[in-house]
Amino acid sequence: MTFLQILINIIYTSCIVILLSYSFAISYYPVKFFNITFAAIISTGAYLTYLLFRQLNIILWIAIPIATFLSAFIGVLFNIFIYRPLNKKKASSLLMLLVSLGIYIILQNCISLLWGDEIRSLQIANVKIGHEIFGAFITNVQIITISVSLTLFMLTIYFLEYNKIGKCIRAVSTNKELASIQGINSERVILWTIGIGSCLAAVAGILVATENGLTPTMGFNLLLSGVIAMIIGGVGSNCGLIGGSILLASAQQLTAYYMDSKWVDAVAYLILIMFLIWRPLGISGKRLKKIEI
Amino acid sequence: MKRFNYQLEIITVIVTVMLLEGCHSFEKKNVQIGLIADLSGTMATYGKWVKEGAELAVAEINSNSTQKIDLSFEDSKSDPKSALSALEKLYNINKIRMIVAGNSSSCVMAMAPVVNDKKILLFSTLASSPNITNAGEYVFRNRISGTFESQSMAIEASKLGMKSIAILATNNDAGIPYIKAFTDKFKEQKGEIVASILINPGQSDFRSYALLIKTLRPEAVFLVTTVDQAVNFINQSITIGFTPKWLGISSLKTDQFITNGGKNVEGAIITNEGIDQNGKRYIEFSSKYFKKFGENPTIYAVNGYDAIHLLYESYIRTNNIEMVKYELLRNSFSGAAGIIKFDENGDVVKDLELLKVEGGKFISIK
Amino acid sequence: MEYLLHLLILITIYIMLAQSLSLIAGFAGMISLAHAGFFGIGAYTTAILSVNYHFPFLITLPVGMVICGIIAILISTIAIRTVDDYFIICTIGIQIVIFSIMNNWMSLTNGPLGISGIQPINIFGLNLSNKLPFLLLSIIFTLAIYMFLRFIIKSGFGRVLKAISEDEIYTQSIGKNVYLSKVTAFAISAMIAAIPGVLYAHYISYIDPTSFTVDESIFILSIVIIGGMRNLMGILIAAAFLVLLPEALRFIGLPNLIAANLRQIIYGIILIVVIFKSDTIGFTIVTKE
Repeated sequence: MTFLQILINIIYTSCIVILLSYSFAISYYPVKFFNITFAAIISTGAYLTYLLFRQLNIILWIAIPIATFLSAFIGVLFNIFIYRPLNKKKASSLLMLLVSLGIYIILQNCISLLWGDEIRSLQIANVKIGHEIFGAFITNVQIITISVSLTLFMLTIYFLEYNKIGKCIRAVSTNKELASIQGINSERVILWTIGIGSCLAAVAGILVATENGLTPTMGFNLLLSGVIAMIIGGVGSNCGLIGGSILLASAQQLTAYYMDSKWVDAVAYLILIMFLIWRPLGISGKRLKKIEI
Repeated sequence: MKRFNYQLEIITVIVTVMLLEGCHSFEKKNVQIGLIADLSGTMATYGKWVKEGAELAVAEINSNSTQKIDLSFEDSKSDPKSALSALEKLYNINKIRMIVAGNSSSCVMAMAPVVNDKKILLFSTLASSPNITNAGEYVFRNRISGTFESQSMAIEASKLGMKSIAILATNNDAGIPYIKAFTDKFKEQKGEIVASILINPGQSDFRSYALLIKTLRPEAVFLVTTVDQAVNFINQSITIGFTPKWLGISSLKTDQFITNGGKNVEGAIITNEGIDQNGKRYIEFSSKYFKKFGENPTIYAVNGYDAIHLLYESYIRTNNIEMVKYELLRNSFSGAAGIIKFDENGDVVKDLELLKVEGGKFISIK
Repeated sequence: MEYLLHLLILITIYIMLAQSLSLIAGFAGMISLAHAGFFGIGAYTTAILSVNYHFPFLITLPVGMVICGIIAILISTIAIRTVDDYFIICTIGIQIVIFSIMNNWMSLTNGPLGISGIQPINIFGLNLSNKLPFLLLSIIFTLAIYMFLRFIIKSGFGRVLKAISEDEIYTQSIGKNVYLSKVTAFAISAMIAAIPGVLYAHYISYIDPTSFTVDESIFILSIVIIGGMRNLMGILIAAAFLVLLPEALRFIGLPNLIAANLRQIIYGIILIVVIFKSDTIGFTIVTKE
């Protein structure tokens, strides 16, 4: 019963991490820099939903899509006005990272200004005991979260595989120069990836907020776990990404249950480091030139 | 060096501005008080409460008396280095020698050596760490020590007939001091601590901990966390069918605890610094506060409000920082929190009371 | 102007940290986010030795450096097996483990309550409790580190490091020991990072784990990035810029209600504008075609 409950926790956490890491990964492949702005997009999505649903009393099922698209719009705007010119100047990826950190600081403080730093609640229903399955419990919100994240994940993969824009995205992610030779407008494709990524990130933020409430800084830790899952999975592989998320979630949840609570972080990260040393290229093990020494 | 032109220009401007400000002599007719609080960063909510309480006190004083007050704010960003820079700025540039601190104990501890060296009065309103007790003769505080608070809670818990308790505490200077004090006292009362769990500041997923504590079947869980973490823990425990009694510390006495916790926090028992809730000063203060900021005052707002009044009144009477120090040690004051007295270490002496959440309100129980 | 002196001391400390990081991040191409950890190890070594055993500065400094070096060698022999993004994640992990040890090993580090009462530096009877002499001392250390790093970079070892960051396989193929060079560079960098740690502990006289978090590592890396990954002079200016900017914003009069957040927003905007305006083309390390 305890084991089953831990299993449910792991599944729930990994679903959120999958969504987070995929939202980050989809725009990481073509631009190849750590876009910390996503941390702000995660909280923006949640706070916009809060604004529409709680403060303007719009029905939740309308509020969520509006909030999602608005956050995607913000993400795209930043891309057009800041990252694109920087990219033209051939700024290094680290410089871009620093700029995205600056944008994160700006957006996070804007949220603090507008809604304050205290926790806000976005509970859809009253918190009550979940459905019992063999002694373990699962709540409606958890079921919704798991199904929504998996559905979105599948949809995005389907989109990338079979849609024309999706194919362009994959082409640009693999090789920008080659894609341009084929006549693909890589700038526009990057905008698409930022848009899709921001949508997914905002949804992830909303899903987390319905369970844990909202704070302006909620996005940073969430993004970090997404990035780590992506890198552990091995850049450029969907299966690896799922594996990375499950590994990260299991490491967190299992150490939390079995270890002395104060060493949880240390042990969870040691497991990740050990894993990276065992498989230096992540789960998918996609080859990098440097390591083949 | 072409590529650094802009940075160099900005640095030059910054240094010039600082030098100019430093030479600029301030008009010192008014009483000068500084406020260094965590207004951004992880502790921002708490710093904001202190600031709001202080602002209310300043507005009151400036509208009622001829001798006015100048309050200068600095942000310590929840970071000891930043707190120290803010202190150096207030002391050297604004020439302020009375400072109210609304930040964590690590910030207060970083400022303490400078404060004692330069004979600046530092009045901490937020930090509960036992470290502060011995931080020096110029450091005062009107937040009670965490040791005292948790010992009282342990005694009260065993009076309520509880035999086994689990502790959930934040793994930082605001949580650690409570654990040992509570454990020792509760064991003295023949109680059993089944688990003491440390959580990270900023963490929000506690499902594994809730599960772990559930299997140990304690009668109650003592929450030494921020409001959001306490509410999240309670909610996540309830979803797996774990409903013990909830105990908490006075940081939970906020409107958010009630609004975000809803029905689930009904029956929770928390300690509260001995504020005389029926006192005239408190009722007056809390209605003013509610009108201005739209929420009931937290303990930190009360402390910030009282700190300004205390410093102002003592300074008006003596006109000398040294004398204010003795005044604080010697006299007792009446503030929004009731009668305020300090012991020889500059720690406040207050009673504790217990509050219970009933019908969406904090009700005092005895 | 005590306030300015205080800021100058902070600037020198960050210059030392950023320059030591530049050795591995800029020259050897290993972006590390564990630098605040080594900074902290240096600070904690001094704090523990001088508070508990009353060791003088001249002993705690080398001891701190040696301990940092040993830990760095132990860590790097493992961590260097990973490259690029994986190395960054690995160093974040190391940083979190080091922080966790500082925060939880109560009997040694006093955990989150920190260590207070670290005595000011005392060299040959000279008491450096005042800010001005302390600043002079830290400037001397900064200069020494600068000269030392320049020496390393100009030497054959420095050229090997540059070659590694350009092409590891090629460097290996011409008979250089890539692995050993990386470990050495990492250890030297960590040992240098211990020096500002020692100075910082004596200066603030109270340390606790929150000063040595991932955020601090990111800040140190930001200095290196803005200064230019391989530009030791640039790092000097960037450190001054990044330390002074938030302080300067304290002088801008803003409405109290929104001042704190607005200052942070302005900070973000200036950061972006400076990166935009300066023609730093930068140095691509993370991505390589």
